[in-house]
Amino acid sequence: MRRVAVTGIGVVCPLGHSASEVFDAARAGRSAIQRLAHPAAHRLTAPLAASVQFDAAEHFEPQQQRLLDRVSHFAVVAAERAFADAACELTPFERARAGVFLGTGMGGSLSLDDAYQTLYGEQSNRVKPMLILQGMYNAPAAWIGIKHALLGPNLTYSTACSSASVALGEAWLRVAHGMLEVAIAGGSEAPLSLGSLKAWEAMHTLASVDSDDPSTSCKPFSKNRSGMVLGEGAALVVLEPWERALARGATIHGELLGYGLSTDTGHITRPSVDGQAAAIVAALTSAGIRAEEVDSINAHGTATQANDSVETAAIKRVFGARASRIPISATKAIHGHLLGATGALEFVLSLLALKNAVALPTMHLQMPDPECDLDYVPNTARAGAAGRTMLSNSFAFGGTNAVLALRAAAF
Amino acid sequence: MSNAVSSSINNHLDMGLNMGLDSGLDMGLGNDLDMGHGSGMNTGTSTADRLRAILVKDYKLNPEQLTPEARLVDLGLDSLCIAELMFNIEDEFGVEMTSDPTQIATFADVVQFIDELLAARSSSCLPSYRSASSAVPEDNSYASAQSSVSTVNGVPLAT
Repeated sequence: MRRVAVTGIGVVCPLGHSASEVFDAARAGRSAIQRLAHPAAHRLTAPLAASVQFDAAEHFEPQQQRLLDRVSHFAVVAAERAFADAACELTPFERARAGVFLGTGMGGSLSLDDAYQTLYGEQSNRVKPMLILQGMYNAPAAWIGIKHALLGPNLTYSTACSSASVALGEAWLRVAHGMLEVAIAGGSEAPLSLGSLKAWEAMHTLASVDSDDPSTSCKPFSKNRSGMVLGEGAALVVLEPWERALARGATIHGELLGYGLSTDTGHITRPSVDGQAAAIVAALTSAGIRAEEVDSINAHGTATQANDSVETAAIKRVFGARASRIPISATKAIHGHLLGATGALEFVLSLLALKNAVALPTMHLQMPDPECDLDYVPNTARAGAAGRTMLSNSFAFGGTNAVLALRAAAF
Repeated sequence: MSNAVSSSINNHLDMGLNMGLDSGLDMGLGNDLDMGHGSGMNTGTSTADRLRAILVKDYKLNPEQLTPEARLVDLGLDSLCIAELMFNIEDEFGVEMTSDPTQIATFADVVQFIDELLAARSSSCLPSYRSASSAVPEDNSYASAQSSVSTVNGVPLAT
């Protein structure tokens, strides 16, 4: 097994467009959740979202812009940024052993939503010729491969809210086992169409609007939590063998130590303590670390009633009495739930928390819940508290639980 | 699709591109009354000028490149672009492609193709547009499709 270094970070997300912007916002607890600016927002019970400030025309020629769905725009730009940050040149040999691993829960759903409007709303048959290419789930990964001529595996994972963590974990596996020299991995999601917002609303998973301050509507682990807020964006990282990173003098942001998977089979949506605990234990085993070595956790922390109490119980199950001394951050409070990309953004935030030795705050946690009685770093960042080794949890509808283990580079 | 189209741009076709071209030509023949342009009544500007305007706007091509003999492939337009272009031509000129275009290799070929469509439209006693209502299935199959998704093999889906 080889150690795997993270040498490039690229983000296009509600918190910003660079690692430093994203970290600064997360440390300060600046929420990117706002009232949704959408022509049909009035049709939503709770018109909230964490949107990305993004003008595709700044990044793409008109023809490319039309050919790619927003989910691919995000992915391509985030990949560009990750490779620029990694500053790595690939030899022809490495190019043949370089892969793309991308998570997305909903693919090009905006383009499909648009086409349905044409077909059913306008009763027109004029579906655009590019629709298949915009809508297919593997388009974001494919475009990254094309732009950077990455000739190894190009794989898309769709396991709902754990997609990006699965993508990162699967990339880690291949680099660690010597199957790949370089991987770019993460997730992308652009789900803010009326269709998907209504669908999430219909499931009763979305937060109600906090009338005092809509930006605080997502309240993980708080007694008055009412659900998640959808977000959009992409986060990608460059993974390479530790020795290669050292040899070329790369800046190492941190180490991906391993990842664990488990599956809840009791219900399509209901999480289980057993399943989440099993994924955490699998991550520890994969990383070759003991539970005592985990210093802090980025929680899945969706702010749904079901997740937060179950996740709390799962953490207690694994860490026992020490659970209450582990700082746990739920950053979805400020960046929203990026669905198939969220695990990658949270992995990046975890890397940056370790790098800056700061436990990130769980914002909008004003009302303690007896069922959520751990240390969630409420409302204020805690300097010096992130420690050396973290877990980043991602759990999903469909039951695919994925947990990443990571370590600061400086140790 | 016709072999002629394939052969006219064969240097740039593989299976995937063929598929893109096919889909561009075979679909989208319905009404576009709400598409904003495509009145087809603009007679103050030549077909070539209007085509040039599309290519400059949508593909950022330099107007000076767009000579009659300029080959589409040399302009960087692959079969996907051409499929999209045909879609835009239908909108801009208010025409409807009832058959596959053949031998479209150059800018002039596209102009000629459009002019033929315009001529066919004006010589036809039938309106070239389908009426908006024709897009609605008369057998109410939309409604039946809706109701059919609530069961699989007679077993109601959970709601």
